[in-house]
Formats: sequence, structure tokens, C-alpha cells
Amino acid sequence: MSKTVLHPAPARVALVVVVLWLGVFLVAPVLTMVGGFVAPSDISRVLALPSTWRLVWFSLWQSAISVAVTLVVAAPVTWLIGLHRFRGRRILRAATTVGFLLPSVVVATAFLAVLPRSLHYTMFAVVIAHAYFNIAVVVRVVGARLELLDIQLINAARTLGASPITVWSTIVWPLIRGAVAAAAAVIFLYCFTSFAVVRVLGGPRRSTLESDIALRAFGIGDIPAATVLALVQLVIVVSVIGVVRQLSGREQGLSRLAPLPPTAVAHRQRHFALCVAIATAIFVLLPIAALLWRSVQVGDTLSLAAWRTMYDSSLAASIWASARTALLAGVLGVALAVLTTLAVVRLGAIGRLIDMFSIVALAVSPVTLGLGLMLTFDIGWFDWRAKWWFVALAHTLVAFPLAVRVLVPAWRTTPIGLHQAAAVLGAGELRRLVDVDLRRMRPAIVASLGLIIAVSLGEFGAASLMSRAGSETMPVVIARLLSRTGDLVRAQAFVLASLLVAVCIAALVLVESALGRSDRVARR
Amino acid sequence: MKLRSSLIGLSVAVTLLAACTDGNTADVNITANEPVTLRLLTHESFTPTETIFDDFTLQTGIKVELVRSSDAGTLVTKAVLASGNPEGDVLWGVDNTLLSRALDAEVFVTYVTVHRDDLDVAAVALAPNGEVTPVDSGDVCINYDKAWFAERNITPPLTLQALASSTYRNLLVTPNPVSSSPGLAFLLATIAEFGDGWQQWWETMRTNNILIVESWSDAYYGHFTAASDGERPLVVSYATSPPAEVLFADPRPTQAPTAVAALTCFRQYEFAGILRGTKHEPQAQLLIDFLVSRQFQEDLPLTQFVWPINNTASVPKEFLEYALRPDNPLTIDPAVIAERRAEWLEQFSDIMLR
Repeated sequence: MSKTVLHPAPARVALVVVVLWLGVFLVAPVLTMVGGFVAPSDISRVLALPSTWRLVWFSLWQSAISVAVTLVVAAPVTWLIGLHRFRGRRILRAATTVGFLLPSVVVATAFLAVLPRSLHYTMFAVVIAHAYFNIAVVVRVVGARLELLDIQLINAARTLGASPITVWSTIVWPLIRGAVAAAAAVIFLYCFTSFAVVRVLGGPRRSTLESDIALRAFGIGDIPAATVLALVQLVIVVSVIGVVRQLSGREQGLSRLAPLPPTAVAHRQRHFALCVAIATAIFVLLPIAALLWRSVQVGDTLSLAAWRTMYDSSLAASIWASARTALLAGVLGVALAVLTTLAVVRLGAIGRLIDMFSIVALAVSPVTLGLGLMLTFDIGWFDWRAKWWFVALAHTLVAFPLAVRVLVPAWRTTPIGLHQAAAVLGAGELRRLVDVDLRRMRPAIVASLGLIIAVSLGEFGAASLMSRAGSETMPVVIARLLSRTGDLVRAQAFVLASLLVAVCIAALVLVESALGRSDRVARR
Repeated sequence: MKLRSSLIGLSVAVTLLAACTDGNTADVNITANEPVTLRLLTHESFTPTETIFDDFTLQTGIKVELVRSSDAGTLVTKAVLASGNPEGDVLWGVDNTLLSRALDAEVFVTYVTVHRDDLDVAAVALAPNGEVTPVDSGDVCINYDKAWFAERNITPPLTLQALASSTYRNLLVTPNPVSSSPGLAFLLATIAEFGDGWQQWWETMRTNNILIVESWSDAYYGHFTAASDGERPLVVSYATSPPAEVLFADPRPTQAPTAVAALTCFRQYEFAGILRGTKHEPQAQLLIDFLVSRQFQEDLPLTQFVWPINNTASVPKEFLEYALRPDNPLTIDPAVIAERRAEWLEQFSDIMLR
């Protein structure tokens, strides 16, 4: 039945585009690095080093702990945002996302300012910063799934006498399990490949594979070893994610036809909800407050001097560079993510392979990818190293897998009956794709656009490798200002960081309100 | 190669959208009457007066575009990988700890600048055939918080040997040699000072609870008592940090709050070179001449806190007043550094970081 309604042609076209895109911009650069620099002897040399296996072990256990802590920290606020409607919901959701998009160098610096000295260079600092970064992933991925949860199912079960625990274990958990596993996999990946947080907050004695890759490539100049470590990282991440997916099982398709508005917070849960909102807001805003505080601290005195230099051409230029890079990355990234999702949900086994591959893209070390891109696109018409949009292109690769995580669960909720009805009424394949699938998906698409823009605004690794004259993005300029002498210069770095936060919050609130409007239109 | 070119061919269609939005495709084919723009690759500490290249453009008609990498290590790694097909025309910022890595990969073409006779002899000797041109120098040394030591009536450590004494337990913070260029210079200082005994010195420092942090700014602005609310009155920094403390303060103090232990200094030279594969070699030569000209060199001290390499350049009074210029800094031959750096860093990591 479904085969006749859902013609695979559009999905196949999507598959071709996605495979080409990833082949050219992801696989080819990595192959350039491996083929160009790695001899078999390098592999055995690196694998024989005891330090390699210490790095693997540390990367593994610190990310496992980070995932667990992040899920626990994010659970209450995800419950609040995902299932309820209240004033300030959008702002709270935008606020939880801010940490995710701040450059990790900046967040790490902010945490050093907020945490007491006794906690500097400890695992606690690393894990709590990882949780800070990744709350957004849980809120966005699991929250998006919760929003599609049929409240009537829960109400019916409660009316029939099921306890909250029974409701949770037999209805809610089976429905959100897939989203939780997806979020956990993404968080694991980010923590496993964590670089700046581990370096700055963990101190030089703690090193992940990713931070060691950068040290080997740039500190020691051992590109072959760096590339081998990047491969080791890739293999481990792929295996772990494969195992996680196997364990988490296939997602249940049970869902309602059209999204219903989330309910208000139940009266007896008011206090709890308020506490959750306030605690989350404080956790999220404290480091940002530290940034603002630092921006008005010039040496020992309070001064707005750094803010007065904002007309400074290089600071303004970086804001513009960030904005256009993020917008282009957003547009391209959403296109890529929608096509990927189409292939994933419609193409069975090949779809699952693409799904897997899209998440593997996140595990490719930015150092390897950045260097690979620069070495692959360096001839004649294809010498793109000097182009500002080359950075945006790299950002689509870094960000689209996240968008796919948001889109796939949402797309899977489209009831086949809608397609059948539309087909009976004479709607063609393309029409159904646009009017049934994409229209239902609009909130998820807008949300993924926000995510991609956020990632692009905060991305540092690739941007710093590929950064261009006159178009350095804000995180790159912030890092540069932070590494210079002079109180005023440092205050400027924090001014720019504060502005980055402001720009991001503004963008997110805009996206969220667009989402709200399209929601209302869709429901009419 | 075949794989790469076919993939590139396929990518045309995919990136059409991106290409359409790009307004700056002029550099693909430069016609004769178009003014040349030179791309100067450098690191993020290269911060001359913003208008400094305007005069160069006025004199020669050549424009200069800065392309910054995050640090010197990244800059050199990228240049080595792109050797022969460079991203730019001229590179500023390879120092004597990285020089051989670049020279071995034949990153540069030779050029002997017209100002050669005015340049520091010791620096020129490191690249005697014009492989690269020295552009500035500086020293990495132990800096100390004068007030902290005065209040406690403790003598600041004047040598590396003294640092190992338990008097200075818990007092020193240094950037990581593996990730930071001043950190590496400090490691090299200890190797220059102690020879084969350097590992033992670091082991002593480990029991003396030396603090190793990620970057120079983490050390200086995160832990140094004179520049932060930190708890360490000794820091590995530059010999020119004290003038920076004075010149950037408002109001300016009459005395620098920090001082430098002259016997702990390691000399760094920075070089610039013309990248092999540039399409603008004659123009690039003019830029090298400009970079070591008096005009550009005199801009260096107060914008980048380094010493000019051109002996005819005058140094501002306030810089001379507060900056220390050690007479006999520690140093190691770049060829030896190139040969053993990876091994030293590996050994250092084993002793201190694992």
C-alpha cells in the first residue's frame, strides 16, 4: 500500500544530491588527507603509542558522564517546554539554545570566571560546561518530539486509572525513546570530540582525541599522526553510535494526526514549573552575565570604553561576516537536511545508511576536514580558499546532521492516511510532498534553520582554519582579541561576545515567533 | 588526482548557488591594468597600525590584504601543506622555533632585501641566503609581580635554577609548550640552560607545583597576580610585558607593576618570506622591503610589543624605558630545534601532562 502512494522518485533524486554533496565536500577532503599523508607505517606507529589509548579511554568515559549529566540537567526544562504552553516559553527555549551557539572558547572563559578557583581544571568543570552546551540539543530534539505527543492519549490513560509511572513507561517513553537516543548520540559525539572546553577547563593534563589532533597538526607538525588519530576517532564514534541505535530500537510511529496546542501547566505543578524555569534561566544566563560584566571591566575600573569602540571597523566587519555566513549556511544547510531526511524516511535500508552517515559527518575532526577542504579545492577555478562562502559551506557540513536529527522524527509522524487521501483527491507526488509533508514539517524546518544558524554563528574550528581577510567571523575575532595584551582589548573581546549572544537570541526569538505564526496558520 | 578532479567537476552543479552569491570573483583572472592586491598571510598577533599599508599602496600602487591564522603553528602548518600552491603571496610570522619546518618544505622563494645591511646580524645569520627575511625579535622570560614579592620580603627568582627552590612552590604559571608559542620558547629556554638535565628540572618543577595552562592569555590574564585576581605571582610571558602594563593602563603608572628575570629569557626572531608559487613575485619583493623599512619597523614596538630588526629604526622612549633587552638571551640553533622539537614535546608531555 505505502509503496504505491509514496513513489520513491523524489527520494531518489534527493539521495543523489545528498550523496554528491557529501562526497565532494566531506568524503573527498578526508580522502585527500588520508591518501596524501598517511602511510601504513604511520598507522602502526600511532596505534602502538600508549598515549593513543589513554586518549581514547579518556574521550570515552568523559563523554559518557557528560551525556548522563546533560540528560539529567535538561530533563525538567525539556518537559516544561515540550509539553506546556506558558508565557515566556519561546524566550526560555531561545535562552537554552544560547549556550549551544556560543564559541566554546568564550564559554570556557566565562566558566573560569564563574566557577570558584578550586573547581578550575577539574572534571566537574568540563562536565558542567558540556552540559551547558548541550542542553539545547535535548530541548530541541526531544522537545520537538514531545510537542508531537498526543496529550489525549495520556489523558485517556489517566482517566482509565493508570498511574503517572505507568503512563510514563508505557506511553511516553516508548514514543520519545528514539528522540532521546538521537539526542544522546549527538551529545556523546560533541563531548567525545570536545576541544576547547577540555583544553581550557580541563587543563593541559586532560586531552581528548580531538584536542590531541590539533596539537599534533599545529603544535608538533605531525600531520600523518593527526590524520590517523582522526580516523581512530571516526571509527570509535561510528561504532558507539551504531551500538546506541541498535539498543534504542526502532521508533514507534504512533502519533496524532495534527499537532494539538500544548496544554497549560497543571495547577499543582505550578511551583515546580516555576522552579524549573528559574533554575534553568540562572544556569544558562550566569555565564552570559559574566561576559557582560567583563565587557565593562577595563582593568580594575568599570567603564564603557570598550562599548564605545563598537563602531571600530574590524568589529563591525566581523558582525557582518558572521551574519552572512550564518544565513548562507542556514539556507544551504536546511536544503541539504530536508533532502537527506526525505531520503532517510523514504528509502528503507539505503535511508538508514544515509541517516547513519549524516551523523558520522559530525565525527569528522574539524581540523582534518578544514585542512582537507583547503587541499582539495585549491586549483584554478576551484581555488576557493579565499572565498567567504567557503566557510559557510563547511558550516553546512558541521550543522546539517543536527537538523536531520530534528527533521527525521518529525517527518516520521506524517500519517500515511493523509497521503492516501491526498492521492485519492488527485494530488501529484510533488504536490503531496510540499502540501502534506513539508507543510506539516514547517515547525521542525524552522527549528532546524535556527539550529544551523546557531551552529554557524558559534563555530570556531573550521572558521579559524579557513578564515579570510576582512571576513573573519565573530568567534575568530573574539579569540584573537582574547589572546592580546591590554585591558581594553580584552574588554572588547567580551563586548563582541555579549553582542554575539544578543544577535543569537534575537535571531532565535525571530525564528521562534515565525514558528508560532506558521503554527497558527497550519492549524486553521 | 583523478578522483579529485572528477569530484571537483561534479561539485560545479552543487555549488552553483553558492557561487552565484559571491561578488568577489575578480581575482580569478587578473588583467594587466588591474591593480595588484597582495595577500599577506599572518597570525593573529600581527596587529600593526591599521592604516600602515596605505603609504605602501600610495608608493607602489599595490594593495595589501591581511589573512590571519590563529597562531604561528597553524600558519606554518597550512603553509607547509600548501607549499608551491600558496594561499597568499607573502607570509609574516614564522619564528626561529618553526623556521626549519617551513624551509624543509620549501615554502619560500629566496629574496635578499635592499635593507639587508641595516638588519640585526644575528637574525640574518639564521637565513643567510635570503630564504626568509627577519622582521622582528622579542624575548620570552619569567615575569614577576613586584608588589607581591616586596610585601612578603621574598627575593624574586632570578635564574631558572632558582625557580626549582621550594621558596617558589605554587608560584609559577606557564602556558603549555605544546599549544603555545611562548610556552615552547620557555621549554627551549630550559633545554638551552640545562642541556640533558632539562627533564630533571621539569620533574622538580612538577613537585614544586608549577601550573601549566592552555594559552598565554590563560596564564597571564587568568592566574598572574599582577594582571588578574589570580594567585600566581610568577608567569612565563614576554620581556615587553612590563611596558604593556604601563602603556595600556589608565592612568599610566610611573613604574611598571611587573618586572622580568633577565637570565631566564629565550630569544625569538620572527621572519617573513615570499611564498613559492606566488604570481606576484616582483610585487612581493617590494612588500618585503617595506616590512623591514624604517617606517614599518618603527610602528612595531607600540603595536605588537616586539623589537624592530632594522637597526636604523628608532624605538619610542616609553618603550625603551620599561622594556628589558637581555644581553645574553638563551637560544638554540633552528636546525636543532627542527630536528628534536617533536621528540622534546613528546618527552615533556610524558613528564608533565600524563
